[in-house]
Amino acid sequence: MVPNPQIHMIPTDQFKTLSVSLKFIGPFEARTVNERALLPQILLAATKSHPSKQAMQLRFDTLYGTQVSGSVAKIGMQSVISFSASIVREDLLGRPIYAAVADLFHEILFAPKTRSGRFLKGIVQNEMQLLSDSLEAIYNDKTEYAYRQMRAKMFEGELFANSDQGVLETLEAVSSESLWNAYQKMIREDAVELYVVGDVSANAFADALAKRIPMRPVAPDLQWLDREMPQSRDVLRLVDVDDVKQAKLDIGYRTTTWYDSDNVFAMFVFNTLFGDSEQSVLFQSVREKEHLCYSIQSSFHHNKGFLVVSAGIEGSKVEQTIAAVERERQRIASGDFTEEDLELAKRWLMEGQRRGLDSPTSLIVRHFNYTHQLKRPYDKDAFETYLNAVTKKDVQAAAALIGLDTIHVLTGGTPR
Amino acid sequence: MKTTTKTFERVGETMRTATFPNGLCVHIVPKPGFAKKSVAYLVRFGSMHRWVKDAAGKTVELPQGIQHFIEHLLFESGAEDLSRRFLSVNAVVNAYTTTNRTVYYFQTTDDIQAPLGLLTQMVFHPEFGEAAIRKEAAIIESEFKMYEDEVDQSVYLDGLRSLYFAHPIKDEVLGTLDTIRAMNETTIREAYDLGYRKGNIELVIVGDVDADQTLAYLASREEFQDGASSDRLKAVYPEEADRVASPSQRIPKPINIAYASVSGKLPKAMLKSPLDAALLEIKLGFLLESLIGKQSANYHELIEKSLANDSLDFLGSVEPTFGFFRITTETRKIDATVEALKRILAKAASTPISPEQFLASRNRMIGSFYRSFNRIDGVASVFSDYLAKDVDVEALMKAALDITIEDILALSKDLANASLSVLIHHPDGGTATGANRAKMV
Repeated sequence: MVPNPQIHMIPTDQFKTLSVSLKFIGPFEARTVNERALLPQILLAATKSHPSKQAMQLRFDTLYGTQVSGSVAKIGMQSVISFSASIVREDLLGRPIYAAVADLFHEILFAPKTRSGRFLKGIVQNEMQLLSDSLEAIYNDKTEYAYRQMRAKMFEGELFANSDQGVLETLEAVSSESLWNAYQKMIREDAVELYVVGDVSANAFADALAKRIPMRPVAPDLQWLDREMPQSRDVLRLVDVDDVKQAKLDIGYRTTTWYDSDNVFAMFVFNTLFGDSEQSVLFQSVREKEHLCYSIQSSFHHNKGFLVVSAGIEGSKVEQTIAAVERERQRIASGDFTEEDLELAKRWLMEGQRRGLDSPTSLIVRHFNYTHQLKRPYDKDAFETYLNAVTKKDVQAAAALIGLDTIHVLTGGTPR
Repeated sequence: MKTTTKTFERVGETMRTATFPNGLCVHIVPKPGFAKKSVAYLVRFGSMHRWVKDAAGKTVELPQGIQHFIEHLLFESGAEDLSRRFLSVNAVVNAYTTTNRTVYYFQTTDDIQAPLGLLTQMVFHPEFGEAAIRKEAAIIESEFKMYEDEVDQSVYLDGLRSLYFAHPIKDEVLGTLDTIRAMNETTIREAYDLGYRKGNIELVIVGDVDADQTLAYLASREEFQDGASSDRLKAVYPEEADRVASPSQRIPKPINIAYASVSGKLPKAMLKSPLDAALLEIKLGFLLESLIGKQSANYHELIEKSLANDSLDFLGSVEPTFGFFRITTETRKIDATVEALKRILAKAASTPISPEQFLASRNRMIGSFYRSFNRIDGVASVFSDYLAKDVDVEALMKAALDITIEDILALSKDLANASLSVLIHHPDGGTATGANRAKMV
């Protein structure tokens, strides 16, 4: 095949399919969040030759369930729209389908169903309704809803406050012009990259796709990590009232650790030891020993330098739980944990890392993050090397470095 | 020990099966190149096994939720924290209980022998102390309460209760608060001895493992040597009418948008052998997909008329003792949605399926079968599911590929005559507005 720096091949014989992700990369902006959330869905809803969702689905199914899906994500300060699919290998099916799938990708991107130079009104309205419903549905998932509320407040004024999946409050401002402009900008200006995981036959597919869709290089100076920070301030304390049986507590911490930071592995280990497994100190002491909560989990977002502890608790135990979480953090910072705890946390991370090698989707994410956030080729052994180098002192330092920023409680009762 | 090897030629996979004299069965599916390995004891003992035959052939009634309770207790056996012991040999252990099985499994990217020893110890040598029973009862109670907040979960179970009078498929896997609180050592020991006999348990290993070495290791363990041969647990089911338990029901929930479900119950005459049931489930899937799937005219019409949104979904589930189907969606026009869904089902027999549609459904099924073999978990779950249901995967695939349009048309007549139940979960009119409720304190 023709070498092309925008085409990233990830060769392996493990899978029965080729996994493909075609990425359009543009700036993440508050004013186009909704347009970029809607675009992939609108493009996938109808093309000139397959003018309805029904016709599209029939095509996907006939191609052995090659469901092309669209998604958007904020990565660093960029908005990345991905069109992805898994295609059953031709050698297993005993018949060719790669060219037909490449044609379909081209059709979705460059031959949308239009009238008077705009997307069909019905399709736009329908996708807007679906987006609006799915944003409202978050409300029914109380854990997620509480987390979103907390995030919106903690990052108020920062790009990270905008959900990359769309913002309900500004959805009405979307027009057929704004969508068409966002589309034109996407196909004319966005950088375009292709990632393909699969056996040797993947080359034939990549060639077929590159023949139909022009790739465009990513500008070297883009910010792939979100380092926006507010002026220093007091800890924010917020209470929301809703019809929940369990209160939902979210505690947000700021860190100055990102994916490319020297201490990022220490932060990974700290997060795992702190609250990311059933062996973690939060789970073991706050849930199992003190019975303060039904569930508790921490997660570290290396794209944003943000760590959050989320717990489902009884409404009366909010203050006790907050105090217990902070106490456990101090304990780690002061070194009150064993070498065995440290080893367990590392093993937990190592397991996750190795398992990712079996997933085409996570292989693509890793190659993408290495390419852009670390600016070097993916190295599957690097993770274990860096992880093993983390010492107890490193973890203590990470625990001491994170700063309490926002405490949010969603609790039962009557809203005021 | 007898061993056989079976090749699944369509996807290029093989399964080696070894049967030990005491009835224990081991299945190994090698997956060279994968980092992860999945090892699972599949116990044919799930929440719908409420009435089972004891050794004397007498029917014993078990308390609701006891299978799940035993699952929890097995994690409590022994002095040491089991999760931690598995982690110390680089494996992550977990378990789940469904209507038809209890599964204990670990996954690892390391050697399987040490964790396999732990898992074997855990499944076959439990200790049931009164203190542990009380502790787990409290934990399961809070698990029970946690699910109460999950809307999807209530929609699912309320739906089954609207269909069934007596079949235990309608019961919560966890049991009820009363049965959970009333669990005791004697009942648990009795249920364990019935459900965990060797002939009722299979071990499923999927991943890059040395099959000979693994079988040699198992053969050396006393659990695989001891005991007289035992057979499968036999469950019996209460008499169940063909009509639905509740034709129409409305339940308030703290949600923003109402959920409408229309379900149908398959009459007993349609329920046959495990293979037939699995095949019927596939046909039902084809039919529902052509009626209301994303490529159907009905789906798009419902969405265009705002009678449904993209939560519109369908489900068909058939086993030898029960069979049902359900269409659910969120809606803001409850009555119109229900009428439309009922009309679609009533007209099922006269809605022609085009050859294109049929080909699409068939190809999609072939594709999804291949895709399930992309993941260790997928392979493990395909094999475990069909093993638990006593269905031969190869025979099922072959029969599924022989399904014709005529078969689907015949089924659509049955569907149009099925007894239906309508269930609405509607907003309780309380606090359901998402915006502007945060305040500073």
